[in-house]
Amino acid sequence: MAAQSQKAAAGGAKPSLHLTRRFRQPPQRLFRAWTDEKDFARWMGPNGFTVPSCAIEARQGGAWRCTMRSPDGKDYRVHGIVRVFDPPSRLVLSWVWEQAEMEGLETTLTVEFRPDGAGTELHLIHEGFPSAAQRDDHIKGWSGCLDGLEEFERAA
Amino acid sequence: MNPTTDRLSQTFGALADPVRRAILGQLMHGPAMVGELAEPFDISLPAISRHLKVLTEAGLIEREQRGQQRVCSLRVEGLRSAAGWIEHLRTFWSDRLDALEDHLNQEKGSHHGRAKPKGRRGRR
Repeated sequence: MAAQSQKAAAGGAKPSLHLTRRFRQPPQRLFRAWTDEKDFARWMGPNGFTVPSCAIEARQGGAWRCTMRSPDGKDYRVHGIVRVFDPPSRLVLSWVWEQAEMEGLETTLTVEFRPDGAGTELHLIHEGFPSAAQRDDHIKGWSGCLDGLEEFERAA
Repeated sequence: MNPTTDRLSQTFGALADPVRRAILGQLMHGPAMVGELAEPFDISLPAISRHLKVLTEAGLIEREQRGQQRVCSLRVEGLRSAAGWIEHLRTFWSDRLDALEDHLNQEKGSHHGRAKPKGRRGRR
């Protein structure tokens, strides 16, 4: 499983993660959980983390920002632009980690809410590493690196 | 501490920079001296050293002193985990969706909140 994903990540031009999950609640409720600031802050923090601040401009082209605070007080900030705001079926966010060392790394998060009986089938797609511009400019640097991984491991 | 988030951040951080990705690409061909690594780039040796430091701390490369020279080489384990960045993301998002599910189900179970009463439940 892991090996397969790694292979996909190495071979594809645009490595991405795709998860599917079913919920009892309808798409409207799920969409709100992703776009209402208070709602979003309730579940977004990783285990033991808190979300001290969270702001989402609920419209296409709006900005969003979220801070996750670890139990030992370290802040992880993420921000981006709401690329698609299409309630209750689709939300696309650019997703940029703000840590200084990660500056400029932009990924794209797409969340789709498909009706599934009375509930929702949620599709989450996180993609775009490296970003389009970085990929075009430095295709040899990173893609070549990943492509060569298997060969390198065999030789090592 | 959250190891998943931390490793994700370190891996992303190290790979976020095009120069660092190119350095990894060069080292794929075998170990190299710092001067050799700096050659293709129009940047100073101290700048290269900073990039190498980030890569070292992320566990992607190793540096050792050979006589007067510092030699860099890839760390296969580190590179493997970097290539598996999607696995870090998978863990992060699986956990988040678990939390979302709990959050929504709590709302429906213990108190009604803003959830509208439903005639019947969906699957699962």
